[in-house]
Amino acid sequence: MIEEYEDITLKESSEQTDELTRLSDSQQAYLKEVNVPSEDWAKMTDEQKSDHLDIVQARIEELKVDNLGKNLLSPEMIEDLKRRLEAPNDMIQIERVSDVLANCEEIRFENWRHLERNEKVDVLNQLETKIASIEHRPPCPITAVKLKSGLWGGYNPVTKTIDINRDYIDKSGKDYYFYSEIIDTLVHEGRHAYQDYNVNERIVHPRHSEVESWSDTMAGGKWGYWADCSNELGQRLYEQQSVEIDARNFAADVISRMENKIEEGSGHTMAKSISFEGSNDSRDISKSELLSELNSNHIYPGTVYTDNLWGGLDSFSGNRVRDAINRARDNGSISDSTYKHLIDKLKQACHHQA
Amino acid sequence: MNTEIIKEILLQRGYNERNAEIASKELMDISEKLTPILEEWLNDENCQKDYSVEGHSIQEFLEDGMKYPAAVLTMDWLIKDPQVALKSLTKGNR
Repeated sequence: MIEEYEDITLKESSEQTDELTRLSDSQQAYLKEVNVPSEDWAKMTDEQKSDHLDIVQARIEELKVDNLGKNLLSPEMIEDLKRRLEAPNDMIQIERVSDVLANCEEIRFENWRHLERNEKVDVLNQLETKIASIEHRPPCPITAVKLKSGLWGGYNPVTKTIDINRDYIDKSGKDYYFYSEIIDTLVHEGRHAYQDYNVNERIVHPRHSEVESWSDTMAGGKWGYWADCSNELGQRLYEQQSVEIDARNFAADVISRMENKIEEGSGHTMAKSISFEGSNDSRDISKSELLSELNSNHIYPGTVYTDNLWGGLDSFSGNRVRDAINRARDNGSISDSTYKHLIDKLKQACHHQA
Repeated sequence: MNTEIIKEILLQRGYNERNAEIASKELMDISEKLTPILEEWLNDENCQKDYSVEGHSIQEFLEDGMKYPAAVLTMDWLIKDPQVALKSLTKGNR
């Protein structure tokens, strides 16, 4: 955990002199002003600490400081600041974001369909503010804009805004499919904002290796992140960018959990166009665990999709994962026991049997 | 047909260095069903032969704004991995 802190943000640099010299005397004094000695910090309540860290964080962001010398703030303050700045891991983010969505009455379809377009956009902006808070990033203003057919929305890393297809917002009031996709778009584009924040502003994502893979996609506009590269490279290469895979999977998991929670809370079928039988929680959990274990065993089945009806992996993805596990066994990269374990996990993650 | 020649043609036809590098390598591996129409385009930019599979066509991709090589690559994806490609094309982009 401490290693993570040291890696991500507010590094306590051993090159104190070098780091301190980057801050002017007045800047150092500006930060020292808000320092609280260790013994006083220990006596403060959590609320007092939180309020004070708001002030400290604001000054740090104002100065655009990434590295603090050891003598600027007390060690305990730095530790608490690091914990506050680091975003929760993805599983927790998925749970919290899905909670926000599931607890929002306005986006229940039966309520959503009665909202005017501007009211829908207001709701989306309110949700974006809450999602951004969970993700430890600034919220992005959302606007409904005219976009070409087939384009649901987009995140602009220059303006830090999210555009959502105006026509599709309008259709979401009448068609459940469009409604579901609009919510997916909200979470998907927010994830792009999270990726951008981590690559270009401040690393808050616990897994730095993922931030590096996002950076490869975005850095210097190599992939034309803010321009749809499918126009020159085709749909497959666009889809297979790490930022797109990540955003797609994150949104799919959030929506899946949201739907489960709404169904469990209401006690009856959630949507007009789909129906559930039984709980999907165990399959979703097994899917998440399986994907993590595949990654740990360096098995990469490619893009996988959630079964929106039954939870877990859909049949196509289940077959794909099965084939990838079989290949790993055949080329000797996993043991028989690991193979058996992964296959068992796969069966738990699929409603159908792969 | 080799990567360097394809890359040079793409650069001449408006691709940036990076995308020309990537697309030229990808185009070397397309299905042999698409090779003849790609070669015709490489020889003559105005020659944009159509090809259809799984209910989608190169012409459709061109109308959506793709350049011809991108349309060919997308068609190649449909040929080789129809289920995944169809799902992507149906859902649209974000």
